[in-house]
Amino acid sequence: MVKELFAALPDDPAPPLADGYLDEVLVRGRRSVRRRRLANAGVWAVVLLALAALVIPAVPLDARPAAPARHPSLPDRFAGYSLLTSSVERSAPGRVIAIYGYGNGETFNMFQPLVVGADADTYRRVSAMEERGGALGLLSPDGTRVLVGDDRGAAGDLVLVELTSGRRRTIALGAPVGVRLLAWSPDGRYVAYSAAPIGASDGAIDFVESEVLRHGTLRLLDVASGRIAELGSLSGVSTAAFAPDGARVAVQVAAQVHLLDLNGHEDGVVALDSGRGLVAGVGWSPDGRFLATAPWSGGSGHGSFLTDPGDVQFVPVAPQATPPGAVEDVVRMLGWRDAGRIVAATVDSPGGRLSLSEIDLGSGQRRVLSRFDTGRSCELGMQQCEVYDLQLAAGLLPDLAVRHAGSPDRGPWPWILRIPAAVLLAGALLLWWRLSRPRRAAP
Amino acid sequence: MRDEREFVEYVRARMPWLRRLAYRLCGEWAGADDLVQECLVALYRHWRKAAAAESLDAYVRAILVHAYLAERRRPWARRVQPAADLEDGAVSGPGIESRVDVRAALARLTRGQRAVLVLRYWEDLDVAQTAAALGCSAGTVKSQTAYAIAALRRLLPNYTPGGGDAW
Repeated sequence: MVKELFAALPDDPAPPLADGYLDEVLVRGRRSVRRRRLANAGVWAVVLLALAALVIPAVPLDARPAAPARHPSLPDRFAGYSLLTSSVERSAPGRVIAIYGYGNGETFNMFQPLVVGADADTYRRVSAMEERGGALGLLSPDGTRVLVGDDRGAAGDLVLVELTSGRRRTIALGAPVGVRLLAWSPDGRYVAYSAAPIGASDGAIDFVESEVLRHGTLRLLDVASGRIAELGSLSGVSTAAFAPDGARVAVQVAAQVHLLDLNGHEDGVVALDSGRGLVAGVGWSPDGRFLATAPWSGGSGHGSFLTDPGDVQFVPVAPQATPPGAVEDVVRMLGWRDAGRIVAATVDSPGGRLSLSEIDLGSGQRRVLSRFDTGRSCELGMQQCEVYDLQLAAGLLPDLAVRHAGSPDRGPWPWILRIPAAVLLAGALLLWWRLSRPRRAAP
Repeated sequence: MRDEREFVEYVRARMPWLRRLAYRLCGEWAGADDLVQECLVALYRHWRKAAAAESLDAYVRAILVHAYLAERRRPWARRVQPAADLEDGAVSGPGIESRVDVRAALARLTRGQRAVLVLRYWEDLDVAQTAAALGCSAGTVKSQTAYAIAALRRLLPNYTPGGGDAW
């Protein structure tokens, strides 16, 4: 019946086509082809750029860490906090100028142990420190190695992280003991540390530190061979610093600094004022004549935010030497440029912005070398970023230059971010493909 | 360009057929010529693929029908749809009045229903060819045809083909 209905519908005669109808079709057709090619090229360019953005940061850079420049350098400002910072183990940074803890833990635990390159603006996390309960990592004087203890409890080994290759080496300690790492020798051969048998953790954050501070005895680790020697019979070692020639080590126990040779023979004692402590790791002056001291309340300072200024005083190793005057407003002394200049962490005001400054011991003149970003960029912008456990590569300080900080190289993105990013990109491409297909509609 | 020459030759040869099909779908010549132009631009863009198809005419028909159906999905499309007023009362003969009424009824169907009726009964395609042109399954063509006929029946309740047969 329906066929009959349509059969009864003759077509009206077609009017003539408009002039230039086919020419218009050709013009529009050519334009359409050009647009499609441009759109395809644009889409491919976006895809390639997106892939490059994903792949390039993902390429491990450990095969080519920054080549040492003639002079090691410090960026004139430290980069801000980032969750995208890769680890030393995934992408070696080369030699570094500084190691520090950075972040905040007010609401979320977002602390990062970071190193920053001595030749380029490379920032990396030291995963070994994170894995071992946020343990202190002791930076070697040449900035190429970090020795990591263990804050989780008694440790059977230490971990040595090679910053030029990203490789790790474990150094056995024998029976598990609580460990506090104290100082590298200037030639990087030895590490002095304090060790004590400890029981199970009582849950306190500084359980290992406090136990070893009370009972720890001094030990000397030969880093290359892994041999360990007990040095003397001192107990309750708090800090230590090697002499500039590496032949002796100054060890603080209570209010006295004992000077020991590397066989453990004591050849002198320096008395400290009450409430003073030997500056950890770098307290012995390059000319061998003085020991630097800072306010000390009996703790280790490990994990404490660097906010409160104090002073640095100097005591002579030899009785007849005249020490330089005290330096005020120093948060932490970090090393020596030479016998007359120190490098220290300072703040503009109590609780203010943290800087690294060079201070002339004769004139007291200060020069700011670098500044930290302690703005409210931590914990998703809710908290101020804090710096703690800051150390510099002490052996690089005499030749240190200051470089203009460029864009930070944080290494390849963590897998936990690269995978969702890749999935998002794939989803966007799929969506684009689906939307750009001609639709096939049902009648 | 060889492709373009072949395209022009094909278009010149098949233009009357294309315009007629577009007219049957649109119901008026201005809209039909616009639809054909849109179809030909798409054909130009995909000419190589179309020329390699098993049936070039079927390929072009599918482009044209899709362009027609796509109009309803474009919110910016503001084409005037021809819809003559339906007269009340019976339409009993094949004269001019009944033609107007049938066309007006077709114009009031949805585009999909109109397309399936035009292809099946005016273009005399079988179910498979209609399905290919619409880009759907044969089953969908059958069901949509039934819906379209039912709709047409509602719009022309008193139509008696040949003056005697009932719907």
